[in-house]
Amino acid sequence: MSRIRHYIDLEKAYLYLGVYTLKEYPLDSIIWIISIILREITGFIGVLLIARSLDGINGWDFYAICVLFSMAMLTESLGQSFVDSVWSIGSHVRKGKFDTYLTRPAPVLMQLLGSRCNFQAMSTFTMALVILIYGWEHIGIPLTIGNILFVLEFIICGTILNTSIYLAFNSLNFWLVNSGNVAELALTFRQFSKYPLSIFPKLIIGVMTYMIPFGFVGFYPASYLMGKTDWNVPVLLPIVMLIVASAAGLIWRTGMKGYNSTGT
Amino acid sequence: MKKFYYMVRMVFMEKMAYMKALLFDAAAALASIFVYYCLWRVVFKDRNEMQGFTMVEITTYIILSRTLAMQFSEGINREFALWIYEGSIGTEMLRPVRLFTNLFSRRVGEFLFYITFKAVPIMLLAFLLLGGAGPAGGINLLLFLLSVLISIGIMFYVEMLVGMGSFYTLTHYALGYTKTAVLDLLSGSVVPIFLFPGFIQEILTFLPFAGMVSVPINIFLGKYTLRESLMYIGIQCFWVIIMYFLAHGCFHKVIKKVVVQGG
Amino acid sequence: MALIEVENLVKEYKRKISGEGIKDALYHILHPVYETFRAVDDISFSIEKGESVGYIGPNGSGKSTTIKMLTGILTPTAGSIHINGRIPTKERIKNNREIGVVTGNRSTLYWDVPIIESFRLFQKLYEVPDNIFRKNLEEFTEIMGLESLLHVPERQLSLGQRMRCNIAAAFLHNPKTVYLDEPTIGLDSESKRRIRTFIKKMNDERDTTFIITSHDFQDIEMLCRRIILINHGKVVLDNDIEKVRKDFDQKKKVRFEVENNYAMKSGEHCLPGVSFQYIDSYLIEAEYNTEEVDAMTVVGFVSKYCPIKDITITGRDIETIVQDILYKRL
Repeated sequence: MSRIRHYIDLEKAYLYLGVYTLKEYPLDSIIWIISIILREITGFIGVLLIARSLDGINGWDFYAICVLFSMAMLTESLGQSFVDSVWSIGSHVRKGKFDTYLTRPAPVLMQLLGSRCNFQAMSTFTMALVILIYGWEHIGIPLTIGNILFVLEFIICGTILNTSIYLAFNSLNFWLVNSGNVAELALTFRQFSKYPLSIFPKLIIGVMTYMIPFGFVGFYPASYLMGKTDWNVPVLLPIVMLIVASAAGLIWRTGMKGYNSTGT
Repeated sequence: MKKFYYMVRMVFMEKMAYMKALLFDAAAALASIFVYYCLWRVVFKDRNEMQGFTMVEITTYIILSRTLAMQFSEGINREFALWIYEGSIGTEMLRPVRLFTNLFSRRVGEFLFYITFKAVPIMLLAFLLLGGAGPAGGINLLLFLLSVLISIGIMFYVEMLVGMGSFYTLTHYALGYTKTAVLDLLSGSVVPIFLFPGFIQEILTFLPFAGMVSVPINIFLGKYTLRESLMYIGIQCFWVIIMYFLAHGCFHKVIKKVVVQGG
Repeated sequence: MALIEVENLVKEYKRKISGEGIKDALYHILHPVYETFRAVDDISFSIEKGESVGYIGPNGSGKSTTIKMLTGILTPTAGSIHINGRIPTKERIKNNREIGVVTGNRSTLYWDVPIIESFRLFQKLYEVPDNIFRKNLEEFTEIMGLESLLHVPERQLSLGQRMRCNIAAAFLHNPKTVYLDEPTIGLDSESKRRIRTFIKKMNDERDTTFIITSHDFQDIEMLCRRIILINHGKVVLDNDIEKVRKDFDQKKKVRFEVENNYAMKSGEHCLPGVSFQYIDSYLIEAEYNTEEVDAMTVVGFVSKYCPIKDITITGRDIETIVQDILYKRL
């Protein structure tokens, strides 16, 4: 129990450093906020413009697209805020930075995830919430306790799921140090998750559902909210999350063990 | 001139070291081409044309725009920002060439690498897989190439400005990301400019960014008459000159600051 | 049982042989060729609490690999390590609470935040009670001159200032053992001096155990009472530093300044166990073996021929001794 309290204390200290940099460098924070928002929004505007000039894409109208996009954005921005440093595994391996983490009395993964917080991304989180509410209202999704709980469940499980997929891909850097950043592949796959999956060929739908389940960080939960699927997403989501998180953890551990024996 | 050639060559060789990373870049580009292809296929399910574009032409638009847009996430702004950030700009300025020439030769080397190992293979592969319309005519192809070449000038100065701007930020890459996103949206590489609301369309056409993607592709597809094509290329040239003065103006200010603060 | 017990330690690396050029590189992707390289080859030693040990050897001799294994970063291929009875890679977190690690040219502090904030994070990380943290901070600030540095972000500090902060950070949690890998590399003399004073003080007053690798023999001579010399992954020498000096430093040098050395030079006078060298016309250097003659005999011998104006006697420093051991000049 005291172990857990210690880790919470430590996490707080890491978060404090994040807040500190945020407020100590205001100009930089603003530039970050703008850049993060712009990055997320370009794709969104693209699909919105297509949906606007037509009457929806495959039965997904303007507002449905808003809901889908904002849900994907919620998990992504939360991940960026708290655990963006999964993306530094590659550079940590190349620069031997894990050496330092290994000599400290806390789990390496925790030290890694704590090493950088971009609270600027909370701005995109807020924006995503606004877009979600906007789309929600226009579609007239009933505001039941069940639906609200589902959104909360989605925010938590979706963020963990999203981060786990990133962790798995980034951990490949333990083996492929000199091959550019393999983890970019994760972003390549994530491109598909921002659009209604149903527009893609069966093969891609299959991959996004069963292999690299980005479908569960946007498409399926949004479909569930809007009554577009028969799947029981509230039950499936945590299961998928658990499976992917354990797989990612396994890949990370194996990679770290390899690092221990070769010190690459 | 010989100096310039050797510097271009050196950058090209440097880039060769990242051959393996190329595969991931290509995969990402092909995937994004495919995503937009699927989106547009749905759009064209129950219509044959939209704003004068057919599916085949849109396919060309997607392939060319996504490939041209690959340059947005690169460019010398990263290197330039890093020089300022790490203070190695001093050493770079000691070289017996002007810093602008130094950077421009890097940019040309990068462009050559991009054309040979990224643009051409990816375009060919995508055209093979998805089909798409060829150039509307020989003159269109030539003007397309000319327009793309001129757009390098605009991109170069945008990158210079972004690189200098990074001097004012803590991290040297945040502005770079912003650049990628802005260029993606305003150049017409995410969606064709004709999808934007009327007045925004007007503005975008005359901003420097349209020249990087939208103008060359419209020329390629024969959407502009010869007169229009030449006019848009003229606008591109105009922007190159404007940006030239802008970049040089800012450059002297920034350099003074860098020298004073020591990076 | 000693604090640090190392027995028959071995570390082998598998290195991929990569070819030159694109063609070779592609070939090697399909047919990887490996070679085994033994970085640490059967090393044993034990270190008691409070000892200060210089772990020295040429580049690539296996120093850093050993340190990495001691600190639990690398898993040994064979052999065993016990730190305070624990195997560092097995009980990593418990072991880490009792050690401090400093690597020259690598910082563990946060780049963009003031030093004190990094220190506070370490306080949480190592669960240091407030009173101990405050007391240590105060003491370290004074010895290392950190007063003006604590509220400045690391990126605005010079290399020497950064290193001082890093070293202070490694001691905040009162570690039992501290590993210092090239702690003074590339530093100015002021920083070097402060760092050495600090380490010496920690060793004397707190009985902190040290293992130091350094290419700067001043570090070793000032800080260590014992050296372990390794080469090609094997221990060449493990002994008390004074004893090493005595054992190997049998040759000493006397330098005489005289009016004119012609009287001796021309006569080619000899003394068993001594070799003379004549520099210019007013210097004589005599290298003598301490087992055969003593300094007085040499001085007496020279003064017979030339009036002596000045004398300097020099022993060889530990650096030259180590060079001689390594390259078999003894």
